[in-house]
Amino acid sequence: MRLAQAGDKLLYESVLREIMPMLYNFFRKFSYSKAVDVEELVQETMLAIHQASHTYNSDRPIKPWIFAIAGYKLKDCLRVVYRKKKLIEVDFVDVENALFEEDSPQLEGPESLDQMLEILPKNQREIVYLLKIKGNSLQEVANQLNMSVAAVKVAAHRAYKVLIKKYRIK
Amino acid sequence: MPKEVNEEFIKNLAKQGAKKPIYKPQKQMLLWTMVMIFYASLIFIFLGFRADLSQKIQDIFFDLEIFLILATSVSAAFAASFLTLPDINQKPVIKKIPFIFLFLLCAVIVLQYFMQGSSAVDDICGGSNYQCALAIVIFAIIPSLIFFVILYRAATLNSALAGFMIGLCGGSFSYFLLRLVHSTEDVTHLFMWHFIPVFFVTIISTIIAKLVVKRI
Repeated sequence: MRLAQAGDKLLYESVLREIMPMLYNFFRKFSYSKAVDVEELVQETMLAIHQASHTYNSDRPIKPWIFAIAGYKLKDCLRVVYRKKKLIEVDFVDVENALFEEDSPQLEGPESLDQMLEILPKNQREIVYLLKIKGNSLQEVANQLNMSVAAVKVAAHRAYKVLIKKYRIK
Repeated sequence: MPKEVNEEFIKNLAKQGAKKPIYKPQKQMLLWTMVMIFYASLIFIFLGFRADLSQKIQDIFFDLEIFLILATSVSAAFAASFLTLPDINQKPVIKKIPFIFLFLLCAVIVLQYFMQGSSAVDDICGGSNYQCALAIVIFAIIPSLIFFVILYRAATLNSALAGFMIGLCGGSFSYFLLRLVHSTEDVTHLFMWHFIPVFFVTIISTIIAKLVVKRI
């Protein structure tokens, strides 16, 4: 990693290649719940490791540094999972009442999905639309947009980050 | 996920390359210490030492107080520099040390109160007393700012605690400077207008760090 920090891209690639299986093993322990998407978590952590690559102190072993970031990402993911779980714990009677209301009000402002997506660049908006609204797979989206699957995944991640940053605050 | 996707993902990241490392905590501390020596010298040159310093140095409580506040500041600076790294430089115990010194300092102030007596709270409210609190806040800006710049460039996983340590380091250093510049014997004044503002600086710094520092 010291050499990678000095600018050796080939060594950096091999370091990342070694890190990935370690992360899979680490997160697999927590995959008892389907809510934890191991694949996504691994990629998020890899991105975080890449973004924090300047903070690795080469005088120290690398594994505690990697797993500190991985643990942080896991906590983040579990926080989202528990928050979602909380959201779906609603009274069934309320849901029924809402379903049978004659005129349910139209969502306005940032609650409108289209408006929410408008803050994204065109390419990312299209990807999020195809993945999350149309429900296409990564491969299908990649084929439709003439992109590689990895590029679609990276663009989608960036889009999610923008959306989270923008709407979690509100 | 297919293996090819991971391959491509790794290649994408590798193409960008690893970032150049930031200063190691020891180097950050060295930089901070040098700037603080220069900063303290400037303050002593412009404001001068308190008139009764030579007498006060013989007072064991004063010496203990000065030692403990400086120890709090330096240990908090160490903790802040370690907290800029995701793994706390693999020495998590460092974040507990400032609290030990802070606790001892509280004990010394309380002991001073009982041994030497003090004015009632009403007597030290109002007037120009607030200037001490203001000085604590102003003196704390530069020591804290250095670590905020480092923290912003680094990747902490605990921005609130890092902010807390930065505030504690800046606030306690400011307390140290003010004790050597401003003559005061009253323990209640010391507690209310010197010690509590240190916590005010700490809280503000925690809030700023929580809001400003980016997440990885």
